[in-house]
Amino acid sequence: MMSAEAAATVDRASTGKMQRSGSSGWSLTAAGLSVVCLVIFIGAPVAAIFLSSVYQDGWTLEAYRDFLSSPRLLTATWNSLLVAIGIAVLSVVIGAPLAFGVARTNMQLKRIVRATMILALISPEFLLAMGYILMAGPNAGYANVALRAVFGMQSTAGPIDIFSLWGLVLTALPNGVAFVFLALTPALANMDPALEEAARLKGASALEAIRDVTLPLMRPALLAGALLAFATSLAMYGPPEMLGIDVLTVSIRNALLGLDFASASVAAVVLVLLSGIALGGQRLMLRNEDRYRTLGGKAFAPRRIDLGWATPLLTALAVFYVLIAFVLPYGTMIAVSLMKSIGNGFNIANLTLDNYRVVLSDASIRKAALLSVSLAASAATIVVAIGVIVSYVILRTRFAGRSALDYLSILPLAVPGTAIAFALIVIYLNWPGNLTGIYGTPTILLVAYLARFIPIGVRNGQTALLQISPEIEESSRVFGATEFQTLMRITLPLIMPVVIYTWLLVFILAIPELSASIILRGFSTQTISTSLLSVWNGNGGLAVACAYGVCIFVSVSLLFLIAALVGRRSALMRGFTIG
Amino acid sequence: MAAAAALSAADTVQAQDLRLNDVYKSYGNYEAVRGISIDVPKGSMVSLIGPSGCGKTTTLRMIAGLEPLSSGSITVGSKLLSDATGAVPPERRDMGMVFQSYALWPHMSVADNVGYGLKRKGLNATDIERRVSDVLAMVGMVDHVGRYPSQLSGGQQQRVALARAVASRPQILLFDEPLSNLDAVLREQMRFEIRDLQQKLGITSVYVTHSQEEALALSDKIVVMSKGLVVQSGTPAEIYERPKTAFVAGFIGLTNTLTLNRLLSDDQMAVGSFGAHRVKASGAAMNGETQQFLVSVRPSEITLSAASASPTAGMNRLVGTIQTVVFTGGIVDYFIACDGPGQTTLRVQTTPPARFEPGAQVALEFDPARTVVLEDQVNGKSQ
Repeated sequence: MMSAEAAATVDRASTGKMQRSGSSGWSLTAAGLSVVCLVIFIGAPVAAIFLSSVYQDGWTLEAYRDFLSSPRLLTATWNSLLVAIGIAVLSVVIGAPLAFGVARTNMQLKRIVRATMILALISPEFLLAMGYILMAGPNAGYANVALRAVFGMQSTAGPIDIFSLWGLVLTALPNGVAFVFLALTPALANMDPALEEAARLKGASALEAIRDVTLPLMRPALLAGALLAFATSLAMYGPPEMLGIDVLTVSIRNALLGLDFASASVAAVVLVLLSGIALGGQRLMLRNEDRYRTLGGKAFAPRRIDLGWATPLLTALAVFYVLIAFVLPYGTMIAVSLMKSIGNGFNIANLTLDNYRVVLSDASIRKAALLSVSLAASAATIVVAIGVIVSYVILRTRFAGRSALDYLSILPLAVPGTAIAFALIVIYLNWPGNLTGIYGTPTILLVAYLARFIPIGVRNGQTALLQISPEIEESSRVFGATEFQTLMRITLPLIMPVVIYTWLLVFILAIPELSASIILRGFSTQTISTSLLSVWNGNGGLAVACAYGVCIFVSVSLLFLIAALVGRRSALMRGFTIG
Repeated sequence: MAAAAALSAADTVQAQDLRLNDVYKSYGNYEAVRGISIDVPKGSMVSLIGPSGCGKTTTLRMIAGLEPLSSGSITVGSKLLSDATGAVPPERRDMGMVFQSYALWPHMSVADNVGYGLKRKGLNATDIERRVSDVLAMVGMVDHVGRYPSQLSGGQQQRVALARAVASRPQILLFDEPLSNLDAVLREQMRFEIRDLQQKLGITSVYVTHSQEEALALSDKIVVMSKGLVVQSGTPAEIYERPKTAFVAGFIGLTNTLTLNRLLSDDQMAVGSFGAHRVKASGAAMNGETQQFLVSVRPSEITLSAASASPTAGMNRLVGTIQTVVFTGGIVDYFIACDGPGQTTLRVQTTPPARFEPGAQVALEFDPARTVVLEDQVNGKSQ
């Protein structure tokens, strides 16, 4: 041990270089920046929703009393719940067998099913609604016309009415099925087939082994997928609006149009609480994942099961899904987009490309596209930057309360776009938000997009950082780089593929954003989605709207293809960084 | 040590003493390191060894500046690096480190990895290039200068990591279980290369390991740690020949422990009874109330003879029955149930051929000078 005298000879002058533990200038800046961004973009809107429901010219529960005595709002709540439950249940019924079929059996059409699931997730919900309305509208819907002709019915309406709760469920179903499917397939693919084989050796048949071993193991993933489908169904705005179904999101907008802020706030609170409960449940399922973790770190080649007579049934289910999620609605939309006159049906004389010409040359559409693209690009850039910084603070620094940042950053997942839009109106119409003057400008749309998409940035940022062993960064420090130099030269280059992938993902999701945009846009600012709806609602005709919709769908799909390629590169990087 | 000279020569490769003074580290309620003091004389190689969770890696990370201290201090030469109030950040400590996972940067070539620290120091491109090929030549990797880490084998990555650690001629070199990811043959080879390089460059080094072979082969001094404390430190020979506790004796090498009833003792030696036998051992003084004490004797220090053979003068002698004989190539392992209190089984290692069968009655003889009194309190159990 060093004696006291020896300690006294320690050169105190050189201690001027010492820093307080764990807080270099850069990490302090990053933490400060994280707190400020998350409070402004997430904390404030969420607080505004709850506060405005109990404070109108003073603290009061009046708004809740009014809500409970309003048949319309209660019906809307009930409708929201019915639709969300219906979608969650049906998503499991269709999604689970398909996931099993694709991951573990010898069924046909696997690639097509997988591709359709991904298309269903990225394609804007209102496009499917357009396709369904054209196809199954009670009077002129092509499916109805055809069915009436086939069965010789005399009526002028039906037999299918898409403008109903069931119609809404059907419209949003492809999306819900995709959530369940994508939650289940990795879990199924990673399951050690020995677990099933052990059951077979004990005398279970193939199907019994699935029932007794596979299904219980898949339960958390299944529930997580269903709860996600439930929450996104609650949050959807486009389809119920277009189908004329009164749900909570639509009520919020209607209340705002009537300047009834009290009703809007309570509707928003109810919506946030419902999706909060669902997503809380989903996280709980995934937290217990370890208990159900079947993957021991090595890759299995999952054994394919021959289900015998059940295989054609699965294939039929796959065909059904591909039809309702993609072929029928988009087929109808493409067909209509090529028609001179909608009433004249599908024939060569009625074919034209004029609708596309109109879309591509229309000044207001071009303006809307430009606005959406620039908003989406700005949102993606800021989201990625905030995502990296916040993830860094959460995972690589020792600040107290950094787990609070983690929770704050995922909060918006439970706040539907309409509710965020409402909150931003409350904040930026009143003091002190009104001092910014962003209400009614494109900037408020940007703020809404940030609130909606920051969770994606932070989550992907954390996933990326978790892949990089801290030693990789620590070695850079030891070899003479500051914390900030290490971030720029080591960490960022290594997570760059994930950064690019995340940027593209947010860009793709922000371009057709509807539920917040439609509430927040100013009189002269149209985004792609709102301008499409106004074309659809009569400004330009259904055929032009369809051509417009097809253009959006194709662009979004192409962008996603690029993102997926980048994502694949990052999967390669993963093996790379660990080695 | 001349503080003034060390300071004026801050930039040159001037070996420096590294000192840890009563260092504590706690995470919440968990005390990872509970007050350790370690001297690493300049130019020497000191190993920290202990089971996982003993605090050795935490200690190394504190030396590197990657962990703040709860209390105590760390100094190099006359310069204070860390204490409870703060720390010189890792990038300003002028240290080199070899990580357990190598921690090579996968997006940089071998040359860029090795040259990174030089670039941070502000060397110009030609100097960097020359220095990089110099150190790569030292570790025999000069042909791989343009490769990427993912294109190298584990052993090659290890050599690059070593080259990177010494490239900037650091004052202190740190090793965090650098060989634990290599296979046995490569591990032994790299052990010698590391020792060779360290001695050639004369860099003050700290080497963390859980392998006794590595610690014995590499170090000028071994520090054995357990539960956040230093249990014993000394040269490899001291640690091996005079372990202070059963833990040290068992962790560094194989050992047998015997519980003896005290008959008499002084500063140099103690005599105790083991059943009907008297065993004499060398070692530290014990306090007057001690009734029982532990001694350690290595399996290779015991010689076997037939029970009927006449005793050798001056040797401790026990009698027992051979239970198991295991032949492992260069060594024959006997497990012998001894006549005496309890169910004491002793392990004895001899060179082949095996001279006794299971069931044979044998006499075990061992030198009192090689029978070491341990400081542990007796709780009635032998190893």
